[in-house]
Amino acid sequence: MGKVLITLALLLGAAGCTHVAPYEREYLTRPGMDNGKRDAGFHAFMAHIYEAREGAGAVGLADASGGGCGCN
Amino acid sequence: MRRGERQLTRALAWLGCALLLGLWAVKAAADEVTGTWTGAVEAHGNYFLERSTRVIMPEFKLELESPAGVDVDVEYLVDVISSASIAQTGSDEDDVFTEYRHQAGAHLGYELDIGEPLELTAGFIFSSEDDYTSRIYLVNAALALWDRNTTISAGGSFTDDTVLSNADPLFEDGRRVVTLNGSIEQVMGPTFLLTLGYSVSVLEGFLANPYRRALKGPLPFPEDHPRERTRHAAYGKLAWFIPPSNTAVHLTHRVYVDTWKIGALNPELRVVQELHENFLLGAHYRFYIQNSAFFYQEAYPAGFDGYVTNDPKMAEHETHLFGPRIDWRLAFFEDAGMPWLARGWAVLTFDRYLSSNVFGDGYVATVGGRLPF
Repeated sequence: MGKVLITLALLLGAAGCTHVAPYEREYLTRPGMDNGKRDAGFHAFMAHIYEAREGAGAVGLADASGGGCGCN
Repeated sequence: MRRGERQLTRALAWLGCALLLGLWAVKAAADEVTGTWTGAVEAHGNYFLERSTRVIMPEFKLELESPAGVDVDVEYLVDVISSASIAQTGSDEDDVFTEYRHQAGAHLGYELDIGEPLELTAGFIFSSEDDYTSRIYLVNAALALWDRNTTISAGGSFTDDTVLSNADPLFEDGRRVVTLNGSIEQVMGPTFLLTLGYSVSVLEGFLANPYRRALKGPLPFPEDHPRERTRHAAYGKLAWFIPPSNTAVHLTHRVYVDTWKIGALNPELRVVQELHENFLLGAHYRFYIQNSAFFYQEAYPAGFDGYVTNDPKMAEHETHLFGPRIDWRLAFFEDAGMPWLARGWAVLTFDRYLSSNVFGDGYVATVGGRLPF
């Protein structure tokens, strides 16, 4: 686990050395890359299903969602 | 009027006040800079069907953004859950019952300029059903650095739930959850975006199901789970755009552990093909696998003294989720003389959910749209 974290930290550090100017980010703003807002409702719904059906629930997946125990 | 309805009414009143306050702030800020308002309205219908449960969930959301950086979001949804249950119907046989869960929420955000843009968000979500109420308070801060090449986010939430039982009018218990999360999003290049995140939740209170019974020998006893649980999740997301084919690839992996000794792995691959600038065709596959909680047993002996559960989520199992997705920008409204509709997107998803535990397999579908203005 420690090695993974160190690798990721080095990866991010190396990435930080590469500056991508705003005008170079056209591809990052394409609809296929950025459907977060169009997906938000779907992800929240799925998070609620995961919380009711899987032991790991939705921890780390989405914003908190209110609701019952998903029982029965 | 039942307590849950009273609380929902009160929460909606508070949300209305928050919206009015937010609108006033947005208006004031917009007046100062004589800018334009932007925002979006969103509506979705979500559907989930499995062997013994059907969920229909319509949801609505309104977002308002001022030129001065004040954002106000309000949302409302209702879960219509039809399920077969012996315990809740009070009969000796499975019978179908339907319950409703109402949820309303509001978020207020503001972007500060401290040399770099710092976005602060606070929110409140209230959820009510006849045997469960939930209040969630959220805060988050996101700092964008180096021309927004790096975004560091940190946030937290506090959840205060009340658990009742339709089978036992005297039963009432509480559940509290504190969640802290942090993430870092890094632009790795003109076509790469990497996000790493971590979340920890500390739960305390009634964490079992008031209806479920576990057998000790031949006799059923109320489920008895530990009253404390700490849950950790770490995840990484890589988004990659392939220019020659206009394909976006999203790879996500989550690792989860908790103090009930459940460990889980959860990779997901999503591919989105831009067939046209106004039409996206996507497909995704998600895999989930976990081991069992330390107190889970398929059968407990008579007289067993310890935690007992009959929750399928506590057992070792795996799930698969896969299906297609269509995103369609409604550009044809431009020619129809309704340009304000032409910026809208329609979304359609259909997924198959396969589960190796007793909940069984299911289907998930969503149809909806988002209209920016």
